[in-house]
Amino acid sequence: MLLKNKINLFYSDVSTNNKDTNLDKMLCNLCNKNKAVIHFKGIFNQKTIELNLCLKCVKKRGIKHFKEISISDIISTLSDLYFYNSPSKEKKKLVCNVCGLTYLEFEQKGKFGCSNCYNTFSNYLTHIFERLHGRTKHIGKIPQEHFNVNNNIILSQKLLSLRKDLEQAIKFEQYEKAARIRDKINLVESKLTKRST
Amino acid sequence: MILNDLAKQRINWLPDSINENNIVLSSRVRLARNLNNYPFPIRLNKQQQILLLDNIVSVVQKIWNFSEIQILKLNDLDKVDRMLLMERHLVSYNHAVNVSGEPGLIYKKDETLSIMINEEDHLRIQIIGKGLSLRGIWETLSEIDDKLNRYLLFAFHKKYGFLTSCPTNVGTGLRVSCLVHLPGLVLTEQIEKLIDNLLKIGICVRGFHGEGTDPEGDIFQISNTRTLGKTEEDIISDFEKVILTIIKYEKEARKKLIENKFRQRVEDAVYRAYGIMYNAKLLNSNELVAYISKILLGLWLKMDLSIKTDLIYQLIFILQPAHLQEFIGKQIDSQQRDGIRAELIHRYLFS
Repeated sequence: MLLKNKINLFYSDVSTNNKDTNLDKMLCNLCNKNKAVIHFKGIFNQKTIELNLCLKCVKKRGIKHFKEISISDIISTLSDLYFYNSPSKEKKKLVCNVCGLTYLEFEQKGKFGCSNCYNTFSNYLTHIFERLHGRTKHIGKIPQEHFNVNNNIILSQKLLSLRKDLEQAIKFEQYEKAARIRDKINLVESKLTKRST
Repeated sequence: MILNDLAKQRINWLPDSINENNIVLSSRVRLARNLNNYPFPIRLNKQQQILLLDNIVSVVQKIWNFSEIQILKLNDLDKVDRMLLMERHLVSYNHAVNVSGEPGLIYKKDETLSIMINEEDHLRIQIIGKGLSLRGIWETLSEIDDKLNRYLLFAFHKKYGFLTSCPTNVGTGLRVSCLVHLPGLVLTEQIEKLIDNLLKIGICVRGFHGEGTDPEGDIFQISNTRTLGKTEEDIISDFEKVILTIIKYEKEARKKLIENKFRQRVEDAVYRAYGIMYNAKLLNSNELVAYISKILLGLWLKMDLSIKTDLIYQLIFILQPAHLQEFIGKQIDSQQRDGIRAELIHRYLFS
């Protein structure tokens, strides 16, 4: 991505006795709990950035063999982190396609415009909810229509959009595509009827 | 001014008489809900807000008898009527002054339930009850929520729960609060510390008039701030524990008031309040709350005050500006109101 200058990548294993005491005491930037064992320093978007991660968080991010860690893994982790903490072009560009609220407006007003905003801005919400509520996942009441059902509403919404796609495909005589969409519709419909019985 | 009957109605959720347990005056529980097929009110134009209001009114009529409930479009009311609704805690300040949208209100005529429509969220459903009664209120409110849910699909997210316009309400959409009278903690100068400590555990303390107001007359509104990641039952029982602790501290503080160096100061404050209310020709609404609060403390400390107590809690609410204008039947300026307030205080407390 926007990596221009030099990159220093090094890691110290849990068992390694690190002489640098500061490095030794360093906590993971993601969980702030465990000792960081992967240390990264680089220039990103013309800013020097340091990243210290623990084994657990590295693994959680889908990097299985951290000894063979690739630069791109680090960058994707870093860019996540980077976007997390400071306004970026991409963040500014985010617009809810249902109500038209931009991320910038959301930040200024502190209010969402519609339910879909929660999906549009979902990457940045964990952080906000953590700060406001100390938690990020709802465990309270569930409305009746979501009861015992994975998500009937999402399924029916998906059905609607698939049917629209099918119409389009037929209109433009893309019959192969239409057949694939029809199969998908059958699948979703069968899921829905299974649940309602 | 068409709501003068409401102004004359006794407020049901206030204590009936002076007794030991009147540290918590009332409890309120409210739910924020949005319909899944409309954007939130700030992104709706007036026409859409009207549609939404009609939609909800039609549903409400399936649940309650028409004779039980009152349905109001706030834009049909004048300023005094709207402020009256706020003084009776049926609507929020923002709802009372919103003239650009289509703010609606549905309430049960005994004022035990109120539903604001097109406030910050599509629906704000609240119940207020006497004393510390959060659990009972929640059970009733949750049933009402279920009944509405039979006809209305609420905006709900698998991970985030009930979706609300403001991220501070997301999840359960549940806000619980108590109106508490804490003269002991104020006079022993422990209140600031308490407020700071409560904030750290996600409990917010506000003044008598709610959001953005200074505490008046040692009456505070205490509420939860965290709505996500806990069950409704846990939010309520944790909050109740906090209130019980505050009651304990307040009782300890009041004991100190009787025992030692505070005694003279307390008696002075109470008799001053008594003297001013007895003699004043003009009383503004801030003074009213502050002095009645002191009188209540005096009565609790069994001080010798010759005063009528049957309406004392009601007076805090029914002598506010909009109430007075409803009684008189016309708009009057603040000095005239202060005069009438002083007169009524004299009539209801001393004669």
